[in-house]
Amino acid sequence: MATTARVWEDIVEENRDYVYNLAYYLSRDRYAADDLTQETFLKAFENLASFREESSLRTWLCSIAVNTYKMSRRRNYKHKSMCLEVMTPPEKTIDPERIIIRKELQWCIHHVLQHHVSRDYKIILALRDLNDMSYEEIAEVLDISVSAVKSRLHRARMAFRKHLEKSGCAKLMKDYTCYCEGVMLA
Amino acid sequence: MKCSTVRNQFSRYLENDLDAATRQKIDQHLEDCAECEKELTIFINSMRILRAAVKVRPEK
Repeated sequence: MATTARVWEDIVEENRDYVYNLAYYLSRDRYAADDLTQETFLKAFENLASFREESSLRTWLCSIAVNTYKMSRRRNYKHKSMCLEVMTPPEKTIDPERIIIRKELQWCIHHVLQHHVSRDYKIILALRDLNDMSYEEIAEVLDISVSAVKSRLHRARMAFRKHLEKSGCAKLMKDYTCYCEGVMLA
Repeated sequence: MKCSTVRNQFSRYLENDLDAATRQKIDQHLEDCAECEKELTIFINSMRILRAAVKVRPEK
């Protein structure tokens, strides 16, 4: 029993940050992300015996997180604005002006995901572009084909791009590119 | 190739997920069509912004 507890502790330790990052971008704020992460690991622990290693543990945990998010959203949806203070700036950035732009951008990214793209688009963007999952892993998590992953992902990215501009972040996009190693090409 | 067809392939184009022939057709189209080239630039920028999002960790 002590060994099982130890193995479980290792699983949590190894995957907590990854699951939390996904939970954060699916959730409206840190509190909801904490809850979603906790609930994900609780469900995983309760169902550990049913994990068959057909997928990686990480993929399995993400499936639980996504399904839990879908269920909780049905139970308790509310639109709530976010507070810039809760955003964490990148650790290595020291230029204060750059930190502010980064914070605003971070806010914009989260805002567009929370309020301007559909739930399915948010999930697939969080899995692929914010949590770096492969197409195959995403297909497993969402239980759809790889081909469907690719087409949904593209539609999601187009929606994100449209709303990033529409929601007033266009100026930030322009400013940001000035601060980001010459990203702006046009 | 139509503009809409090219734009629908932007994600796969950027992720190197196209066969050589399709990629070549898109490259050719982008050379000839300034609007699509501009759209691709905007798309790349929005992708970079999304991917530059902070990796968030739980608070201790």
